[in-house]
Amino acid sequence: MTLHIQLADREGALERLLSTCRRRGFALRSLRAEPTGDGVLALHLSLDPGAAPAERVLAVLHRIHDILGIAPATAAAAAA
Amino acid sequence: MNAGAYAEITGAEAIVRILRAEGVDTVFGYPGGAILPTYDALRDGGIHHVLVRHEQGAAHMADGYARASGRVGVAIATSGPGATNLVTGLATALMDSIPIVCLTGQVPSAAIGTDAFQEADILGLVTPVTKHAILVRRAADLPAALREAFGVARSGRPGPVVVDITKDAQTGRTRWIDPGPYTPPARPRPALSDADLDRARAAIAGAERPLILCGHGVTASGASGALRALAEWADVPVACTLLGIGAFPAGHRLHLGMMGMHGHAWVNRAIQEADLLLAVGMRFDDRVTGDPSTFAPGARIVHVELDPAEIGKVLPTEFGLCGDARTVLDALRDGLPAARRTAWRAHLRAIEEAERGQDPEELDDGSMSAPLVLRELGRLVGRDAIVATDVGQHQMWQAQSWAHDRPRTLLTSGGLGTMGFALPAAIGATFAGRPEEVWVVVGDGGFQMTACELSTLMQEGRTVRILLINNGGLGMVRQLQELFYDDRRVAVAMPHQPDFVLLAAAHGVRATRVTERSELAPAIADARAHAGPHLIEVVVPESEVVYPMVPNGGSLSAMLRHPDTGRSR
Repeated sequence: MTLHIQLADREGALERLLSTCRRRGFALRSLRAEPTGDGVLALHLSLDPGAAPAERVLAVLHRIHDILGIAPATAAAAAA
Repeated sequence: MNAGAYAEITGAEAIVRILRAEGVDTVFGYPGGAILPTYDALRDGGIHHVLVRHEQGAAHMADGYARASGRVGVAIATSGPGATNLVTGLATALMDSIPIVCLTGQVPSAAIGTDAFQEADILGLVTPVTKHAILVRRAADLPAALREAFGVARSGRPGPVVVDITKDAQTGRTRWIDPGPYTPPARPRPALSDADLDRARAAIAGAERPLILCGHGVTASGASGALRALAEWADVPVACTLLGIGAFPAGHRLHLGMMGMHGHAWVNRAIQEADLLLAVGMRFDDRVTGDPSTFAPGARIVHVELDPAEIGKVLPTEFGLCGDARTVLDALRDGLPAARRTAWRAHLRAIEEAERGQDPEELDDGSMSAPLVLRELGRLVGRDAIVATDVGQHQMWQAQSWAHDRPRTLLTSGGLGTMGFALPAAIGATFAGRPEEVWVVVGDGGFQMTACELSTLMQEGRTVRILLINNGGLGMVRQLQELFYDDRRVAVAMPHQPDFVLLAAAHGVRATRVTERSELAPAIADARAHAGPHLIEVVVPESEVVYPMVPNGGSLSAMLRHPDTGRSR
């Protein structure tokens, strides 16, 4: 699955996101990070969640306080 | 904005002001170079500082304070080893959803990454064991960071938060601006619709053999009253997880007991026979379910849970009701038809009587048996006490035998299973402003992990009574080796123990050794009569086993029973 994530651009925030993915068994496939200039890091994240359904992946990631928003990428956008 | 806004103060002074603004009256900590500016500000800050003997103790004390009070506990440590020593306490709090805030000193900003003296990557170390962590490098950022830490720790599903503060952030000057209490943005969660509630109500109303599973979330959300009202209205018996104990009164006619690996046999049997489980504020931990594929095979599941990530995580859940337990339970009851389930309750009572076998008092032959000792302690002090238990056999016997009627009266490390938790947690609980007497139930193994906090206990003049079950080693591990490793015992006997009575006395703590059952009640009475801490060492046989037991990963239907009685004890 591919996600667009708005992450607070703070020390440790990206690390927590990656640590959460590792611990919960969501295999990282690709990651692109870009600061937007307003204290936010825009992430384009592809991962293989294994057996976890998409709703649980989103719920687990939403536990991370520094995540400001998550939007599943459309198929076309994900392929781009 | 507060009076005094725009006055210039140090970051350390800002820390103390925010702590006071958050209502913090007591902090637990251990100083060191990188946190000294904050300690200097604390000196005149109007907050009581408890000097611990090890930072792990500080984290557990903050945890015990939070569990007993429902407020956020605070621990303070310096950089490097001070902060790393907090990690076990943070993990303990995370696993049990306990709100604590830990402040750690950090080397000056310019020294970060240079392998400076007492430098450690605290943000990196604590990330997996905290709900949130913040590194603050500037004094101006401290008020907002601390307000955020408290808001995150107590909001939603509570948990531990670390604020790692560089020394220059503490010494730097900033204009004092208090941003005020912080409320985290709402997290998206499945909407709780009227249709969802209607379907759940219909399932509950239509069930013939329903059970309520009461977890820690009931206590955390203050939902005990709502749970009791619903249980009585729908006439549904209530089973508790280890951390749910006390959230539903043990003396209530609908109270069944504890579920899970060492839960009451009749409770596990009831779960396996149930046709509906209303699970509230619990997460179907592996110690509850055993093999999930065999758990409650005939039951539909209604799961009331604040954290949407927990719904359906372990078991297929037909009705997931995501929200605060009290709110959801009140909503569920509104519109639920009242019921009488006389036959189901009578059946459960028959199961319980069959498992108990005979009156528990008659089963007590007066022998020096740890479960009997703990039952007697519970009978004598249980209704008046907050008890902190450690981890191991004594923890299970205590949970099986005490009648907790009120929330926040059993403090125990359920998720992480942290040995050494009990004594410091109990010390923290004495600062919670509760009227109950505070007891520790601990084994000889766990006691030695944090026994240094006896000094803290005396220094603070707190009254904690300690019942130390001494079976000469690591009883629960020995039990596992006995049952599942062909009784091949490795590294479980502790033939060279300290003299615990002398150890207590060396700290100034009164102490008694009990070797005969007839000595127990007088020793307990003597401890209660003394206005100060007291340790009772009870010497018990090493050979005892906690029954019933669901082998790890096994089915609740295949509990191991006591080989002599065939029952659960």
